[in-house]
Amino acid sequence: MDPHNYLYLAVVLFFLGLFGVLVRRNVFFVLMSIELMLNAANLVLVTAARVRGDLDGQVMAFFVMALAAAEACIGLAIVSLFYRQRRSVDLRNAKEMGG
Amino acid sequence: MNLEQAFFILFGGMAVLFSLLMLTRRNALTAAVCLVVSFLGVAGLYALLNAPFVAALQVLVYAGAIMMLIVFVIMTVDLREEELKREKPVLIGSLVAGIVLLVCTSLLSIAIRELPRQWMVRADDPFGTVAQVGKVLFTRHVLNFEMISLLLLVALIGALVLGKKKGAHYPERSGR
Repeated sequence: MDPHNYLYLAVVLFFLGLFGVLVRRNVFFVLMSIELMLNAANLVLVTAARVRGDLDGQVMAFFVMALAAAEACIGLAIVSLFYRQRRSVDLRNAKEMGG
Repeated sequence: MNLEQAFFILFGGMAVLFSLLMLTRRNALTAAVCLVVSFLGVAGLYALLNAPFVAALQVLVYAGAIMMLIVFVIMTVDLREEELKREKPVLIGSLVAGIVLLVCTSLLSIAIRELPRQWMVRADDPFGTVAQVGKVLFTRHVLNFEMISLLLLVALIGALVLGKKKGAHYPERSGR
């Protein structure tokens, strides 16, 4: 089993996530696609840990997970505010900054 | 094909298939559940990569806590309003994005070919156990660990402040 297989898989997952961020207009889909991208990065980190024989990659993946949790938390709080103001989760309504 | 390859195809296929499903759903809740299954596939991949601790954390934190949070907030949004405005995909934009990303995927895949092909850790080596990861975490990465704790505190306070209703009157605690 080649390390490259895991890396190709991570690339596919990452660009699927990026596609979701760019194309979907529902803010929940954007958030979920961001989590998908973070998972792809984690996969690369854990693969690198096994390739190098070093546990640093797994520790970094652990930190990325904690970071992702914090970011999802804040992102969802922002989504709640967004919905409270506009009664919509469509990102087309987010074109103007301020207010 | 040995067992490791079979499991790689199983978990990898699960991860990719369900993330594709997630991206093409109209209902946000269905998409969230698809993403949970995708994350479970990724957890299986971590198990294949001698990372049992990270795999367990993936199930607990990602599939468990983060997705639960997302599902929770999806449910607080009035679904009736969302179903009325169905998201029609912007066709040209999606096509352009798809082509550009396909190009990026192939470029990155070409670059990956330069990377080493040798595993340092064999499948049966005791590698990413909780004890080993804990040892590295609390010696080499103890500063990062403390910073992450601080970051989680900041995120907690931030979410509380953001979630507070404007001008909310929090009643005085009675019965002192």
